[in-house]
Order: sequence, then structure tokens, then C-alpha cells
Amino acid sequence: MFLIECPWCGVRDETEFNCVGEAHIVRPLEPEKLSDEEWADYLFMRKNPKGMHREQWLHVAGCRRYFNAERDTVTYRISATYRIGEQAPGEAGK
Amino acid sequence: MPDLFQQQSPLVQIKLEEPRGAAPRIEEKPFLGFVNLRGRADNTGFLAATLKVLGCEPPTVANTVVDSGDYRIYWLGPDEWLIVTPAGQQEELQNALQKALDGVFSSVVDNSSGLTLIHISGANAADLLATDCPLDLHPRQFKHGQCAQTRLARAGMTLSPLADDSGFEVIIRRSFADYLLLWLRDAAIAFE
Repeated sequence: MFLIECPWCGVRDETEFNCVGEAHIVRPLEPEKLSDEEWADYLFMRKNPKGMHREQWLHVAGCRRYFNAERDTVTYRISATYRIGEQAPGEAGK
Repeated sequence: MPDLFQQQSPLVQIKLEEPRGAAPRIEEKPFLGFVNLRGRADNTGFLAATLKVLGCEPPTVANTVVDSGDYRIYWLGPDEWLIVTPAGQQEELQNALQKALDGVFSSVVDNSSGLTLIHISGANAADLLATDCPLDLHPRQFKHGQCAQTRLARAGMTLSPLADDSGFEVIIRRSFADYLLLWLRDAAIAFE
């Protein structure tokens, strides 16, 4: 059984969660000023790192809140989970 | 002329028999009212209005239940609660909440037709649920006053232990009620 810590509900089984892709993607403030290439980059281009990756997860069978997780894509180890709007661990003060 | 608006339990077709052996008792509490309430827990106007109508503020500690008079208030999320009312009181509560929350950022939705509540009681209630529920149901981890939304046999449920570890209150979707009760009846055979 693989366990994931929801920042609201605590430790729960992985079957209660969905991964919903890369986290911390900021929507451009003035989309109309972007080139097609820049807009496509925002919409479609995602990182695919081997190693530590920050992702959005959804506690779909629980509180139905989105949160962020720092996950190693090689070992699948989740080193931290934190609420939307909170700073990623190690980012404080940057 | 037949009464076209007669309310029918979603489990009308399932006959629940007396439990045999050590099998837990499974019984539906039909036609209760379920009102979904959303709003910001850091908004004092929202808290004051709900306090006035419900007699208490909605619980802000994750996964807890609060009883207030006839109402039972479940924490569903940091800005979402489910209020269970006695049968027939949902409309009155919805109207009272909507009136009190006029102008406050919030939402009140009557979900009574979409959900139903069952009680699973007896010494083996936790073991029966644990047959296909990923949550740790031991009273050390999960006791009266707490609630959790999780899965039962892959369908969603809101679960809350009854007082004195006598069993569990399970809120399920109406559309899954048939499937879940057949599944529970089947799983209970192991305890007979």
C-alpha cells in the first residue's frame, strides 16, 4: 500500500488521489501580448525530469482539494506535500 | 390516482435480512435531509450567520463531525460541510441558511435526493468495512467525532464512527446504494 499525505486529511491510501500534472505554472498576465509560440509553451510544454519534480495532486476520493507534492520520478518517493498557495519546501526566503 | 411524488428509498428493491451469526447489522436510515454548505471559514460574517441558524459554527478541524440539536455537521473540506437533518427538514434549513447568508460569499445546496445514509453496527462492523476500504478503522485511529471521505469497494463514501464504537454511519450516493448494499450483503457472509 502506497501512502500519500494530504495537507488537509493526513495520510491516506494512494487510490484516493489523482496526479494532475506539473505544479507552479503561472498563467501569463497579458496573454494577448504573447506570440503563438509563447502561448503554446504555456499551454502544452511540460517538464519531464528524471528526479525531483513538483506536481499538483488532487485528493479526489477525500476532501477534493488540490495540493502540491514534491516527488522523485525515479523512486516515486514523495518528500513533501503542501497546500496550494504555500511555498515549496526549500523555497522560503527566495 | 397514484401519488406520483411519493418518495422511495434507493434501496427499495433490496431486502435486508436480520444478521446471521456474527455478521454486522446493516440498516438504511432513509429520507434524511442532506444540505451541502460552502463558504469561507475565515469570514466572520459566514461564521456568524451559520451559528445563528445551526446553533454552532461548522467544524474547522479537518475530518470531524459536530452535533447541534437535530443537525449533524460533517467537515468535507476547508470550505465545505454536509449538514444531515431529520427527514423533511432540509428545505426549511436551506431557506434559513440562504436567508441568513444573503450577501455573504457562500453556497447552500439541498442534496437530499442524491445521498442516503446507512448504519453498520455490531462487533464486526469495522472488519466488514475493512474488506475493501483503505482507511485504518481501528478506534485508536478513527473514533466517534471524526469523519472521513474515502472509498468502499471503489465507490465514494463519507464514514463516521457511531458512539461507543458500536458501528459506523455511512453516507453514500443514491446511484451507488444498490451496488454497495449488494456488495455489503455479500461481504457480510464471511462473518456469519
